Amino acid sequence: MEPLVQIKNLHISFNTYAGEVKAVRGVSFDIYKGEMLGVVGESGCGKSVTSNAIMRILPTPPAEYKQGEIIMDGKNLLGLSESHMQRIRGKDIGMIFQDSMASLNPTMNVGSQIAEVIRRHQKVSSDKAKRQAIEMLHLVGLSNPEKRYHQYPHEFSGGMRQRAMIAIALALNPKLLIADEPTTALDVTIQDQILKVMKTLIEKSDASVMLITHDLGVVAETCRRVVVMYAGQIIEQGAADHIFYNAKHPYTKGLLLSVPSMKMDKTKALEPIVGSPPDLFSPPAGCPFYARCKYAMKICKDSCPVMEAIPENDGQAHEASCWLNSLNYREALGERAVTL
Amino acid sequence: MLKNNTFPVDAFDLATDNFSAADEIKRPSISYISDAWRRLKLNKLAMTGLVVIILLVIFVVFGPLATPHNYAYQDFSVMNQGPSANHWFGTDEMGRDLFARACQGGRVSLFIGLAAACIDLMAGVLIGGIAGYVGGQLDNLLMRFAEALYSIPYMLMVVLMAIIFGSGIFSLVLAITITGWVPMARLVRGQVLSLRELEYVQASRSMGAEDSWIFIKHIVPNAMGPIIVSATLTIPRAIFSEATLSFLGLGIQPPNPSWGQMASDAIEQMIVGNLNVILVPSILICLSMFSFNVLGDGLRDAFDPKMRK
Amino acid sequence: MIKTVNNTESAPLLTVNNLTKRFAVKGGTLTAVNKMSFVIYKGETLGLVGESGCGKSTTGRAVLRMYDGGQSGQIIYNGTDLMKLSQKEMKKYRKEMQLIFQDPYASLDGRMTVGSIIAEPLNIHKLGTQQERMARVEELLNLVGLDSEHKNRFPHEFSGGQRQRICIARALAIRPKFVVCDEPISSLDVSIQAQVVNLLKELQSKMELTYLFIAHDLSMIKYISDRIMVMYLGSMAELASSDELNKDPLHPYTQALLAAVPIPDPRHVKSREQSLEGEIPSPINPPSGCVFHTRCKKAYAECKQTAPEWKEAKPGHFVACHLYN
Repeated sequence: MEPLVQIKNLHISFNTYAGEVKAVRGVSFDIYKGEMLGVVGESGCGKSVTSNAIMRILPTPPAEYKQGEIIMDGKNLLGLSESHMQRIRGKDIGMIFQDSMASLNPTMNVGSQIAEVIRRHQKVSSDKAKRQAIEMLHLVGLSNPEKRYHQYPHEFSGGMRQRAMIAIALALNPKLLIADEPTTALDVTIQDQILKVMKTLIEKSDASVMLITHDLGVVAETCRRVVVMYAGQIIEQGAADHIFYNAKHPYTKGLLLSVPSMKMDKTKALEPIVGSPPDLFSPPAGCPFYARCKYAMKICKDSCPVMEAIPENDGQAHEASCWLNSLNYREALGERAVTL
Repeated sequence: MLKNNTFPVDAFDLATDNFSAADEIKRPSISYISDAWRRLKLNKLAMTGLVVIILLVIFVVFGPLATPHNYAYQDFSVMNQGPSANHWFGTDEMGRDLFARACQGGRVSLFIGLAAACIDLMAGVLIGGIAGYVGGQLDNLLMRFAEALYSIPYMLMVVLMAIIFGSGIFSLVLAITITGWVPMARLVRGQVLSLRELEYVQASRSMGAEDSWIFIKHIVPNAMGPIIVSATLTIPRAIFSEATLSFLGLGIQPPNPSWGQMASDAIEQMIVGNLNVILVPSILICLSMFSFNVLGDGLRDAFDPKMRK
Repeated sequence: MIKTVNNTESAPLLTVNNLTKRFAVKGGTLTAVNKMSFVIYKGETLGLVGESGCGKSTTGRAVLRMYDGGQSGQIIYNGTDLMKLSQKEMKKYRKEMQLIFQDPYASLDGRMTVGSIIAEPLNIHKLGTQQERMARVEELLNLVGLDSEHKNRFPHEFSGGQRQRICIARALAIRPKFVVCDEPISSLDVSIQAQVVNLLKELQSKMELTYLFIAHDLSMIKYISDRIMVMYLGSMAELASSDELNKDPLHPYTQALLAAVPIPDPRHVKSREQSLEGEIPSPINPPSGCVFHTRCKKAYAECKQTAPEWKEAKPGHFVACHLYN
């Protein structure tokens, strides 16, 4: 299957007072047509920077695209002119942000903001755009869409604003929807509703979704494939089933153990991962997870592990970058080799 | 990195003590003030302004020591001369050395600017701070008082001060600041109002801190940014006010020079053909105002957390 | 009334009776907390759960007398009714009662070094000499798993989880007995939440603390709470031990909350029958009768008319719902 978007060896740095912060260090992954891809990682791991890079909305300076390509429709998005990117944003790629209040214009009514996006990319009359906007408001599950059209963002609750954002993002039927922590700021019952709305709409339109979150529950519920990022790198990616049931990186494993699951009983305590992610101002030479890893070995300190394919029964791709998976390790330790 | 893909012998031994770096912070520590200074330094225009200000201060403070001439000494044999080796800026219509007059006038003008800024700062922070922090009826009272005072026409105030205190530096400074503190007070009040509700203030309160503690330890340091900017921008305004008033004859009286007063005298001389007399004070006024303004702008950008690079 | 907490007998530390807090707002009066009554036993963690606008944060702050006025009821702490004290008299009680805030970014003054932030309560109450205070700061930093070196750094250099640990260190500086944790993990990554929760648990047993732990969903809270109280729009909906609430939630709202939590298991299929429709109503104009009836799938005529009573449906398990009257 031909991927919709291919990210190849992306390196992005930020020039700050302290020097160069290497936010994204060699990220490569694909997004296929019609799939829901989850990108998981802690704050600061580079997931938002990567998604902003796809939309080319990183402020340069201080950001700098040092290396890599983002290929969509045969074109490298990083090499396109700004006017070309403007034609792509909204039409081919839509984006939903975490903070809906800050992302909506407080001085415009909600409906006009949807209509504005429509009219920027399509030559339609303002009446037609208004009707399409009302239709979108209805599709995202807002009651009384004609009334909602004329209301202002501050009159909406958090969940309703997020629905409005989804309406704006999907108004032109984009090929790719980037959802950057869309439900993190919402109450859990509202989050439930929003995820349902997103799933329904995506299924209808056959768009691909890149869902960025730090919540493993949200990923498990919505995504077929998962990419796990840590300290600016991808440390594991594969089908959701494999990531959750056959994690082959100590970080992924650690994440799963530190997150509550309703099935787990209370007496079994949560096992958090000690420490914090490394400062990308001077990233470690070896594996970025070295300082927090239970299984760390001497080689992990100096050499960064390579991405290895993990064979799975159902043939779906699964890869992880950890020395524990390397052939040399398994041969060297034989029986004593650790299996995660 | 691995050499030739060969693994060292102890490669797969467990690491000892890897957790020591678990919470390490590698970047250098930087306080808010140092960060603001660093950002200011990047602003070439603001730094130029700062340098010019420093030069002007050196000029007015040490200038009179450098020149042998006295600012009031009149030598009718050298009236209206252009710049020469003896009189570096030339002379005016009464034969007075313009360099010496510029220095002396500068002392007056800069002093007034600085004094006005200081008084505005103190009065504004005190009154605006208390009004903002205490709120309620006191806030109402103070702000209505400020507005009433501010609505008195400026010229009227100047003339009133001149009548009561005679003309001179004191009454001039008083006239400029007696209503000039109101915008600063409003600014401070606004700052305090928004800071008062912040979580770290609530945290302090929940620990049992009293209002005075919170005001001094949390509110003032965090409000200083815009306050310093405003104070810096008060200086050129005050200098210009003094220049205008003196130009109109309401400020510093001759023979005491101030830059505005020198400009006022010089208008007549322009017809005679001596341009020095008007150029010297005008250029100095413009330079000082421009430098303080760009410095103030630079400070505003440097202190603004949103513009953090 | 004595209760068994962690297998030891425990007396009530805090008894709250009919706590009500009203705010005057543009549209009228907002009753954020409506006649809440509960007991917190010494050494236990009482969890308080509810969604936005339910009044849980207001409850936590009201208990600590953080508001001036608009409040009624009783807050009996160690025999003294805190509601009867002036703010000045409260100051000495504030040494024993602390608050940890939700937003670790906003609750630390960015201009102060971490050391001065943690030392602030010691400085306010003038405890110990300068040297003793510094030593205590280092001790606290180590206690929360940070380095003593960090005391000279500024908050913006730390991650969210680390900042929250600094907040915890500050709250514990003057050795309080009771700590209100106001959503301390909500703004942290899910993977860091476990760190903070475990730290709080560890400190609770080390320093004999009692917690009121406020959260907005039921996933994390059961790991730290002994008993959990569920709130909706200013009123109490259900109260039971943590295990009991998970095993047998009685109130439809609790059931919906439990069902809505996303499970990190791709093979788990979510049952849709308990998911909630609609938005949370405005607290200025709450629904009549049972405040939850507008979103309740099991509501019937009675629910719209009268507010349900707070009843002990099972031993130690209280609920306010007409289904159990």
